[in-house]
Amino acid sequence: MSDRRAYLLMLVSVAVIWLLAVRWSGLPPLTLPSPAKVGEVLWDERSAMLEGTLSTLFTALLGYAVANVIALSLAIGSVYIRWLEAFSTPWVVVLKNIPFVALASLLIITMGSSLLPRLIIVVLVCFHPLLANLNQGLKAADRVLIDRMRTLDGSRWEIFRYVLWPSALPYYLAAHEIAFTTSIVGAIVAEWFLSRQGLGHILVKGMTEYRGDRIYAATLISSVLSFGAYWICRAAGRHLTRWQRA
Amino acid sequence: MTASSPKSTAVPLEAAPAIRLKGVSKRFKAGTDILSGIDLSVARGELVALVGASGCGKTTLLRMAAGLEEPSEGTVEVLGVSPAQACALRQVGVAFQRAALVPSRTALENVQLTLAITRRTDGLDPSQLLRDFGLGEHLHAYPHQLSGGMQQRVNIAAALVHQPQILLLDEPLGALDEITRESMTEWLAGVLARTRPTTLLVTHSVEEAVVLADRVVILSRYPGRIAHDLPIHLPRPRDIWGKPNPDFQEAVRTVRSHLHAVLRATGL
Repeated sequence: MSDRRAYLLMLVSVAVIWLLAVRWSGLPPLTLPSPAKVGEVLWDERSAMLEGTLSTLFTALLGYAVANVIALSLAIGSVYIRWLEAFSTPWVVVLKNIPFVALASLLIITMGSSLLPRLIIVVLVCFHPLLANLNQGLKAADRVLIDRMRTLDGSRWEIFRYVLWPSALPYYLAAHEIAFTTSIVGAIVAEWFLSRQGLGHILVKGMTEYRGDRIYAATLISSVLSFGAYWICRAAGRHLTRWQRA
Repeated sequence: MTASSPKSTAVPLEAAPAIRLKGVSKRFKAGTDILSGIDLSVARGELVALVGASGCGKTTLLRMAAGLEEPSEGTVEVLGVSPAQACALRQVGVAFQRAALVPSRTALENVQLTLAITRRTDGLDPSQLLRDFGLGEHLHAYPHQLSGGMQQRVNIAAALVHQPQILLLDEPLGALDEITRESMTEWLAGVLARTRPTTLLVTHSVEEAVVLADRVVILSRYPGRIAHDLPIHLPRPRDIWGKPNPDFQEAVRTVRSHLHAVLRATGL
């Protein structure tokens, strides 16, 4: 089955399951609204939804950019500074394993509802796959090729540019597929805990006000965002590694 | 393809042998000597083959000539200077057993990369070189699209394109199947006859050594020492896969009997 067909099939299945659930589950429209009702909310509250979406996207993209800068600096730095990886690994392991809730609670009582704590959460949830894959890709570089470059008196930069980076690139691209979508999930969770804006906030409000339709609407938007993020990464990745399929 | 001439401007000591090892020993951390008391000179334009059993340190010796390993004792000179300086003069080309090509670059781009890194403007034309190597149809193929023999030809092209005075070959045909290997040996002999760099060749194959080399150096092992240094006085080109050649067979037999005597003496 082609990719396109598989996605089409999923979309149709979701719609069918949803309609069947509305008809047969016996849940009230308050908790399980019909697709039409959700569509109505999306349209009627489009400016609020758009604002929330943009706010979430901003947090996710900014956090994702910061995560990339950190991951690239640590991974590339570790190639040239021998102690850096040994020094940073315990920090990375501990930080990535702190429970979300603990971290969110701490950030709320120290910083309140500002952009910074949300960014911190996004960075913490998505930098690890980037770092791990970059490390692996850089280590997978062909040692024989590096030796050959050294006998040509290649500079560090040339060895990085021609050997190390091409080796790390496919790994890095694969990490984006995971980490970019995770950054959107991270942003929404962060907003859920500590924000008066974004899709996460729409979810919290929908919950306290018993507005299932809004929850479904926000969920739908976040799914589209995550899927879009995945698709962009995949398309970019396939373009940059097209030589593999030549 | 034109034959390369030594570039006197780039080299300080014209009279020195191209490669000279004096009293060279090498031990790694474990403590046992890999190589011990190696004295070896390779004259300009000469092709010396190093043969010996696995573990005799022939690859280590070649890596020292390439400046990739430091000797524990003794000195290594290439073109009268240290191996690293010779590399900095862009006078060294290396091909290892496994073709070391950038996988995301085509055959042509891989050969061009050598020129880009060495910044040599007087190098050979990469596409013409690959055509001479029988790869005219595959200039724009990626390494994974090429057979092992083709990859190795690209690898050797990338080691030769900047016309280095020194060529270091570490079992360049060792990973190939026997038929490819035989035809590639003849091809390599032709390539080296035209370009005539000073060549140090590490090989497992006695035939390959005798076809290609002016001298065959046999190493013993544990530690690796030079056991025999045998000149090969056969006219070139050495057509060995054609009609039977008693002189060639005799040379192979001589080298092989010396090699086996060394192996027996140091334990199989």
